[in-house]
Amino acid sequence: MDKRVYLNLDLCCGCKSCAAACSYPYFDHANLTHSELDEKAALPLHCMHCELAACAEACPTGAMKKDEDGVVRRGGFLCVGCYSCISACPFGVLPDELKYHVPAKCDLCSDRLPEGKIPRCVSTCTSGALTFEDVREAAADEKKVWISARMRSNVLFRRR
Amino acid sequence: MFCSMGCGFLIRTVDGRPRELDYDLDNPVNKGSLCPRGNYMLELLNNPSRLEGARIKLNGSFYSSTFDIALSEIYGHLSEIKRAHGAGAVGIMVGPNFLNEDIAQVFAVAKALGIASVDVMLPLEDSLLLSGESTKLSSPVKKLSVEDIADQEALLVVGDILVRSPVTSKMINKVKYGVRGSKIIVVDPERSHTSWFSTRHLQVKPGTEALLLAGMIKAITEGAKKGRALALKKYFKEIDLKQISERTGISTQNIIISAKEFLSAGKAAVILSSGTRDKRLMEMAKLLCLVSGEGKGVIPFYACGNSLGAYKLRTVLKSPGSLTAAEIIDNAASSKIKALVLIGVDLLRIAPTATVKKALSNLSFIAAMDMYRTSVMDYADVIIPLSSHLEAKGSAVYSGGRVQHFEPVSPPAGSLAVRDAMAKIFMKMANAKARSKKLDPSVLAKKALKKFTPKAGVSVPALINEVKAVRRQKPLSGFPFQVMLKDDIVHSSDGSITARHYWAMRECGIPYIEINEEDCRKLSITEGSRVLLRTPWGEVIVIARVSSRWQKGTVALPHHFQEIREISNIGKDEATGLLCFYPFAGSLERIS
Repeated sequence: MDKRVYLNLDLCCGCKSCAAACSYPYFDHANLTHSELDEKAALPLHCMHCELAACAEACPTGAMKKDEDGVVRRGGFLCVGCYSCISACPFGVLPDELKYHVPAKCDLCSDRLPEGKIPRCVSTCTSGALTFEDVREAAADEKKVWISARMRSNVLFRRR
Repeated sequence: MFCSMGCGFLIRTVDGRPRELDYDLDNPVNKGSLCPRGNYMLELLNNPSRLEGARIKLNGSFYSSTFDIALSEIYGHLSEIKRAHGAGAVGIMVGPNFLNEDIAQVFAVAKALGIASVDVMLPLEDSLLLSGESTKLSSPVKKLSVEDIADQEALLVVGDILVRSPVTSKMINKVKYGVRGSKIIVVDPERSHTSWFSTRHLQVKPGTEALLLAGMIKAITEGAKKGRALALKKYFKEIDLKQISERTGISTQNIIISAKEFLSAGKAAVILSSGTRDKRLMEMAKLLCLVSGEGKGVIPFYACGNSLGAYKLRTVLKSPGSLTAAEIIDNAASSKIKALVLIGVDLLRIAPTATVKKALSNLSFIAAMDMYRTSVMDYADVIIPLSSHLEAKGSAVYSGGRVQHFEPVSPPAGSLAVRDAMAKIFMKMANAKARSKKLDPSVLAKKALKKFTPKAGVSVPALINEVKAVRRQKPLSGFPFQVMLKDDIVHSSDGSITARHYWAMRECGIPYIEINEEDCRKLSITEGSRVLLRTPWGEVIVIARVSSRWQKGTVALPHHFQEIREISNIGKDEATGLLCFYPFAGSLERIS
């Protein structure tokens, strides 16, 4: 299983339903937040589960680590709430406040994946902007690495 | 029930208790997508502020009671007041957030009890659009359903549909990116989320949407040589495009080009979002479709799930000459009505006007039924907790006239369905025989919905005059800012079913005001500073948000706050007698 959540910035309508979907089942301990670019486009900030995860490298206790399936997860017991991962994240995805003394962390809805379902933020996406795709397929498709057409003249945003 | 889209969803239960929301990926309407409001729908069932058990007020404080005693208390008071002051002294109001069966039952029981003053309290932002449902034009306009949006070549979107019903964005994206050359024309005073996706954004002055559509019809009929456009040409002769251009703030050329783009598309739709507070917008949209030929249709969206169903039932089931909701409030204020039963209607949240406040203090008996503890319950004598639509079986009518059926998720705990409460009140009066067939609410609702037919009515010249006349109001001196009421994406309508939801409160729990950057600079207002907004109806302190979305001289506030509704212009529409929002003005002052 090497699937990740991808964002198509051109489609997102800024409805925040991904943030709501992430918030509710995790008891308001959600990783997905929302931002707006210059009042011209919406940008859901979701964890990208990076190849070289800066948050995992910054973690002093080894709570945050990359699992065998490539998903970066935070173990509950080892985490001491030191903010290292939050400051290390280059995308500013980890919300900068602790809840229950630990930071929120996306685990790609690991309760749903074994049942053959896709993560909540992707299922609820109203515009089809968030997709759940195979990493290799997405990387092979040259069209997929793009700059938003709608934002071309203003902000450059390149997807990972 | 959060809008008239009618999205499908699944709720997983464990041992009969709701546990988790799941996405219905096979649903033809939403394909699994849900808006933020839909995502925390489970809170309708498990919110800690849900009422449980009936309450009766004695000597100023509430005491727990059984449903039976509380309902006989209601029946006793109603019949007593009826005997003393006549049948006209009792009123019943029901909200639009209920299923058809519940609303039909309210009307049936009221009829059986001999109460004529019974009405649905429709959401204020829907009133003007809904009144267009019953106006019939000489030839019928194609009615589109929600799923049809994706097949269009051109869309004319009035208002910010992606905030009101964001699930449409999948379909709008299909139109935008599907076929090369598709047009999306957005008519909205705000540079909104919807306008991001437009190919042409007509940023009109607030409240001139209908006038702009009239201008587009004029542009189409001017060059018409055959068909309906030619037949309607004479009515639009006196309309001057230059005047329209001045009042709407859109150049003549832009109006003509938009009209041509709409006309030249093979299949096109006008999408009307609720909250567009403009009179006769629906009729103008229908006329635009008529004059631009085959393949054009209208699809209106409403603020509450069953607004359309409630409106249709109301039109059919109301006995002729009986009072409307607005008249019931007026009569209560003048003490003609002594007792009022409010079913899912939080009057203080929906329309907190001076008349409503006077009416509530003048009434000698108020029975309030609702899911949550509402502010109107401070005045109530009896409180009955109601179950939500997730706990009842029944149907609702959504956009495009689609009837959708609901299955109960769990049995109502500590609360009653509206239909059961009404049936029990009825049982206090009648013996067991009488109830058998007469009061089957599902049969009644089905029959009534079938009966609904639009009335023939308003002539085209009268329509045009009305549209033109509304815009002639002069601005009041001392109130330089045009105030707009806007929707917030996490709240539904007046917020009576979303205001207590945790995520909604966190995202939008404090009243705010959006002000144009230039106006902010002039008044030295910065992001987050406190601002005093003064209108002819009152004052409110709100937090400022500097924004480039609005034109100079226009400010916007979310309308789901009671404080904001208190200072807004709520009036009665003359044609239909429904309460609605009117455009209003205000002045700003920085206080810290």
